[in-house]
Amino acid sequence: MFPNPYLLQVLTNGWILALFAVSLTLVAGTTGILSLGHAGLMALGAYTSGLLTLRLGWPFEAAFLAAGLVAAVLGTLLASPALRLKGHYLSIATLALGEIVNQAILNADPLTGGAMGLAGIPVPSLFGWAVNTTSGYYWLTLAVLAVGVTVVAFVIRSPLGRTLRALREDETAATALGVRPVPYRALAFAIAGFFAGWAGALSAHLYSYISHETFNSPLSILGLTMVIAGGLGNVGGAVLGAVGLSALPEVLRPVAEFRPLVYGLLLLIALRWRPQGALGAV
Amino acid sequence: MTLLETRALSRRFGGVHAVQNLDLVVGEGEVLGLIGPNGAGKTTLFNLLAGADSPDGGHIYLEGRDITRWPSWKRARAGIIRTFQHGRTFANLSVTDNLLVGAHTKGGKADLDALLEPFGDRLKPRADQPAFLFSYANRRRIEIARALAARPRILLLDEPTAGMNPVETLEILEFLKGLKAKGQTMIVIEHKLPLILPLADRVMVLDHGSLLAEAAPLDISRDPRVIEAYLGNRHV
Repeated sequence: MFPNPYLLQVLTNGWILALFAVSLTLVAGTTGILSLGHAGLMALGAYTSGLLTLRLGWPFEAAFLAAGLVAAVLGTLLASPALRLKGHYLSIATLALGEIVNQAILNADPLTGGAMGLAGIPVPSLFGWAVNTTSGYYWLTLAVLAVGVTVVAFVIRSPLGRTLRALREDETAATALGVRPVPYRALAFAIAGFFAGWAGALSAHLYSYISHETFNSPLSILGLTMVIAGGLGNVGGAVLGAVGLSALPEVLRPVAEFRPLVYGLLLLIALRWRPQGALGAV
Repeated sequence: MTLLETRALSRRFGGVHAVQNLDLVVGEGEVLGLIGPNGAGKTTLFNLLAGADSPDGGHIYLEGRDITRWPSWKRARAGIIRTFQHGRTFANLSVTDNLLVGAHTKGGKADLDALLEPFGDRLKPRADQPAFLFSYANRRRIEIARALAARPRILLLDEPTAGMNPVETLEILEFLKGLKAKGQTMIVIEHKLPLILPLADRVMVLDHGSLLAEAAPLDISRDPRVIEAYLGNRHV
């Protein structure tokens, strides 16, 4: 269907980042927590799936499911002491979350391979069918993204999404109406963690190698950039921002060494004329 | 029957006694008016009753249960619902969503039509628009409707007609009288005596955090101490 493997590769990468961005938009947009360590959740999922398939020989399907669950549970547990904080303080605490995960990976040598990273992660196989072609991986990531988009879009439109937005808008008023802030934020973190974990697992099996530097803070910041460019709390915007910003460096290849400069300028221009993001904040 | 009660309630900010040894009783279906000059401790008292602030001394009881240490979300679930002096609508949420969040303790279910009806055409035709598009006075109305969506046992209104002209104030008065007729228990903070006197069953006057006087509205308006503290000397 897409004969051009280069384009498929770029889009596959785009779908994975889109899943990451969709998960982040639930936290940063709907819940209003400017999470600076979201890539840490991706690392949790990547290492879970990588280790389970590589070390314990788990089938991909089971390891992939576990990746989502572990990222959701561990991510929420790590964030839980911070969920009582507000505003910038909470953001700084999420920055710590990302760092804690990566430092733990670096130092848990026997388990994670430490600084050497984790190599030779097998290609995914679905019900006996190995996903080892570019187009196969393209469709797999697109299908997983579709699940993530459906669930997160549903959450954002549900009463849960409304309550999260109310907490974001005015925590004092929401609390005065009986909303208990911490469990709601934790729930948002868990759902987001699940899909960020999936995005991490997809990258792990795509690259076959991951390390404590694969899911670093620049990736968290890139995720925020995508989410803001598309429109905070907007699922379609998150996908558009992720695909757009992951394709932009490819489009800008002709300007060679001026790429980062043009990239930055385009972002500035976009934010100048459309501060609410391409598809608008929700 | 007593619904809400405080005993020797106190709150200090440094050397300032914002609320001092205050005993307050509100019966089921009663409307208590709370007046007093700026800084008298009225809003501090609301914060203490709603759980947004903790007292330094004394106790708060809801139907005899000690709720002094309850967090505000728990008090809201028990039926103590407040509005805020300067208005705190959820700015980017539609009027409808504001009301549905108000119904949080009722599982997010509310009769939106019935809640918006009393405000005529001010809110209903624009119920899908975000709250920030509404005028200050209309945002106060949204907040009152949102509080009622929670179907409160006791409603705490902090200057519900601030920013409204005399005609709009009368409208709110009629609306609140209607609520009272249906048996809604309320504590109302208000500077405008034309609102408080016809509405309240009983009026408490606070000054410097303590009770200056407590009486029926008619007697309050004649009490020289109240006139001096609240309206100024030239009225004496």
